[in-house]
Amino acid sequence: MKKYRILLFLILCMALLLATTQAFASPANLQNGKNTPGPNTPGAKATEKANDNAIKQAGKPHGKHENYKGIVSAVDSTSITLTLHDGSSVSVGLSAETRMKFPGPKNSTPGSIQPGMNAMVQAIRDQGGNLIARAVMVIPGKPSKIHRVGMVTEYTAGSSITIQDKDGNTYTFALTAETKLLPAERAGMLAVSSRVTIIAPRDPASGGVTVKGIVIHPAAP
Amino acid sequence: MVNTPQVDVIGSAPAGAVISVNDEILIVGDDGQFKTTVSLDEGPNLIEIIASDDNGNETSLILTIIYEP
Repeated sequence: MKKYRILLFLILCMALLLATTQAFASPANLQNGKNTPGPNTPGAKATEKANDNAIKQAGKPHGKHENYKGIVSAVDSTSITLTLHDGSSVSVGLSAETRMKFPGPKNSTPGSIQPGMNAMVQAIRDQGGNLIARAVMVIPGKPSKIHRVGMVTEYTAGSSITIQDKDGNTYTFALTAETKLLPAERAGMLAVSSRVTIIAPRDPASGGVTVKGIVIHPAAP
Repeated sequence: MVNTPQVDVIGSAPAGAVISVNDEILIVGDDGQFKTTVSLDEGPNLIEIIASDDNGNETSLILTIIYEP
């Protein structure tokens, strides 16, 4: 009887072992290529998350940013090629997620990048080792703004101002509510014959001739 | 390259000179010093600095800086 009980215990143990092995090898746990020990254990959840991330990242950029600065030698809707300062060149892919930065003209588009322009590209490599641009920034040859110094010849508050520089050239600018008058304590002194510095866009096509700020200089002693 | 979202632009110029740093306009004080803080976007950024005196003399500098958090 005792021998029979031991045999029964051994059979039960073997059955339990077989069931466990079958459970670990069950195709239900190999769905979508995932090989997880069980659906609810912390280890299984971590493995599943890692697998999901790997699937999401496949073919997407990864790794450290690579920065390049040079002259645009070719550009189209899919890539930009820079000639670097050492004479070498680098081609970087453009994507819908590439941020384009154009200082100055507000109505610029990615198509505004032309060969010969200076540019900086921040890129990252995809799984295939290809460079993909995260951001492309055009570096202007001159600042987007200009300072004009002269004597006020006409002034209509909130509307327009005309100045004459030391060479006799006259410039007329539009004023808006956003135009800053500096310093604040001299704002009330702005009038015809005031000597001023006007800060305005260099390229009138980029933002009209709207003044960003007017600095009123102290009256000559 | 920096890992902070803003940088200080500090310099010296003759008193009364007008300095523009991107959209910020400064008038140099009697101590000849100026300082402003520029906020950066992630990635490449431009800092345009223009200085002029009341005779209309002007000089400028364009800096590129990369902000990588």
